Amino acid sequence: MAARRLPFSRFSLWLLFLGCLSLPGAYFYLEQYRQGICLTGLSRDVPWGLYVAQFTFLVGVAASSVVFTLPAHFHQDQRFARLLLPAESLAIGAVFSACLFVFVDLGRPERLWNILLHPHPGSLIFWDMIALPGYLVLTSLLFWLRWNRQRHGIPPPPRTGGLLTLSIFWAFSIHTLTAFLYAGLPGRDFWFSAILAARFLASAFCSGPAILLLLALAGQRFFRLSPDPQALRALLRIITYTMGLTIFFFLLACFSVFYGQIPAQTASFAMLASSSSLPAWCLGTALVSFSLLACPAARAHPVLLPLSLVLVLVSIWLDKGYLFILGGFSRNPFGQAAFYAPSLPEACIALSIYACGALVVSIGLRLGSAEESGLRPEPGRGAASPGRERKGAAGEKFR
Amino acid sequence: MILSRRRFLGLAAAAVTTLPAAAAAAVADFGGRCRTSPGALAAGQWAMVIDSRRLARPERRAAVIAACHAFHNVPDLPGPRRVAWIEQHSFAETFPGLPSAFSPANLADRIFLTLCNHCRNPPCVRVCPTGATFRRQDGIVGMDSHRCIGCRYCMAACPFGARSFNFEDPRPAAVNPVYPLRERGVVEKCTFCAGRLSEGRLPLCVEAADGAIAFGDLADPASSVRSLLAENFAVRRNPGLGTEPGVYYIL
Repeated sequence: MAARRLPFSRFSLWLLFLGCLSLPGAYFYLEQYRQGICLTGLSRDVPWGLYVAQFTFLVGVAASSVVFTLPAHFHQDQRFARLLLPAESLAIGAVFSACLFVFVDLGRPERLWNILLHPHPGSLIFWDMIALPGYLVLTSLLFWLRWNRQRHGIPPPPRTGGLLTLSIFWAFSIHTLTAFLYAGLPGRDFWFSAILAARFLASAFCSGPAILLLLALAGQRFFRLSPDPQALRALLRIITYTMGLTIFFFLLACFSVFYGQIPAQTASFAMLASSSSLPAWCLGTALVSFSLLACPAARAHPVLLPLSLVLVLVSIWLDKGYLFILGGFSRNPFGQAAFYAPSLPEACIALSIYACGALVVSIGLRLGSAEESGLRPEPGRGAASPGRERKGAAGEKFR
Repeated sequence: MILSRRRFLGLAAAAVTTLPAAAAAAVADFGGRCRTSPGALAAGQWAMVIDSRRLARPERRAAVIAACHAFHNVPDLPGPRRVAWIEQHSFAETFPGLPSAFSPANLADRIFLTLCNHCRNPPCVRVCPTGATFRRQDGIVGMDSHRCIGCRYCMAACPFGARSFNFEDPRPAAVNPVYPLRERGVVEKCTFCAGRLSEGRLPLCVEAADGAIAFGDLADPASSVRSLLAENFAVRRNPGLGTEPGVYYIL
């Protein structure tokens, strides 16, 4: 009630909060730029850490918009077509943050353009340098075209079909590229696995939709939105199957390593497993969330459903957002166990990039949350109606 | 004609996406050609043979490391963020998987010098996005720290732990004004003393090792390294990875 008397809407307060959240990170990044990467927890043995791990996780989230684009475009599935704007908002925010994470990881960020000035197509970073900004532009363009038509009430013209097809293949490519960054390095046994790209894509396709579904569930309170039950059911089915595939693909990698018993390979798994309790948490949350999602009663439960989605995210974040990178460095080239823990400045910088990403996603969701969206406003709620008026007024301003 | 805001934004977006690509195409380099000065030492494939038996005494190894690090202004930073062009490691660390429980004691306790292997098929060069690290025609894997963007992909790709990153400014360490100092945020490593070779002189570690390290052309059957390798069984670090290391160890 108090919020209504303020000159700001709750949405602007939320944006302000995200802006404030990114301030400590901005300060620490300036310090990191001045002093060097010594401000992080990285070392000679572990040259990549939290930043590159977040990049890996977020490229997956960005690529997962294909879960909506593919059925909507190739199969004309209306349940998914109505979810395209929120899905694209999430993809834009995720790929934007992923680019920022690559940027803050560089020791010499001002020389970033050297990648294009002295192109070396044999390096996968060169392709990432094209693929990630390209995906950002492509998805933003598709979002803008769709949003523009939606607010004018015009049906989508058929000419964007080519762009949509391109974006579908592009989405698969960006995450395959991410896997190729790791999967072809001699001596990094934890990463050297042919199943890696498939594993990455599978976990991506449950992490992105899980975030969107959680947003939709939370949206009933905070975003004045409620999910279309049809779309919700279809999404849950996808999340369940892809989570199952993620676990299955991981077990396939484990089979080769532990049945093969090549010391360097088993050691990289064993050293990671013994480094902390996090690998156990990662596996545990994966198994529990999959069991919950596979159980129809839990899927319909108002508490167990969000809980299982949160567990999906915790598990995949622990995997791609932390442990997977450490696994590659857990055993250094001299056969010794390597240690890494992110420093406080490093964590603050990561948090501020997530805040920037959340800012982009919030604006995208706000713009896209119109009647036509699958996340449609709930007419019955008392708190919803004044909000809708305000949103209408904001919509006028954008015209 | 007055541009509408919408049209202006569209044009701006198109410009932002196409300009970097056009700029890159305009100034793309077409591969550096290297020239050799008169009196320079040249080879088809430079290689090193380290006789570990003759470097068993710690002071001899320390002298080799000091000669390299002092000349090249390698900062003396201890711990996990150390910068090192040449290091010391145990038998088990240098050759993981090679020792058995029954290896001779004098070998199991021996310390080895480790440095960049100047691989014939270097993964670091393969992954470098800017060509800051490159393989020369004479087999030396060079490093242009002015082009390096500090992504550390080469450190992830090197299976020998031979690369160092300047986590902080190395500047207070400077003592030798002859050799350029690196900056924070770039990767560095052993260059087989490419600068000295161009002046007709052997690498510093070879001189400091007093005959325990041989350096020569692997492509020349009459070279010192070839005769050493013909007379002694020498091993390389992790040859199974297919990187073709150019540093051989006589055990």
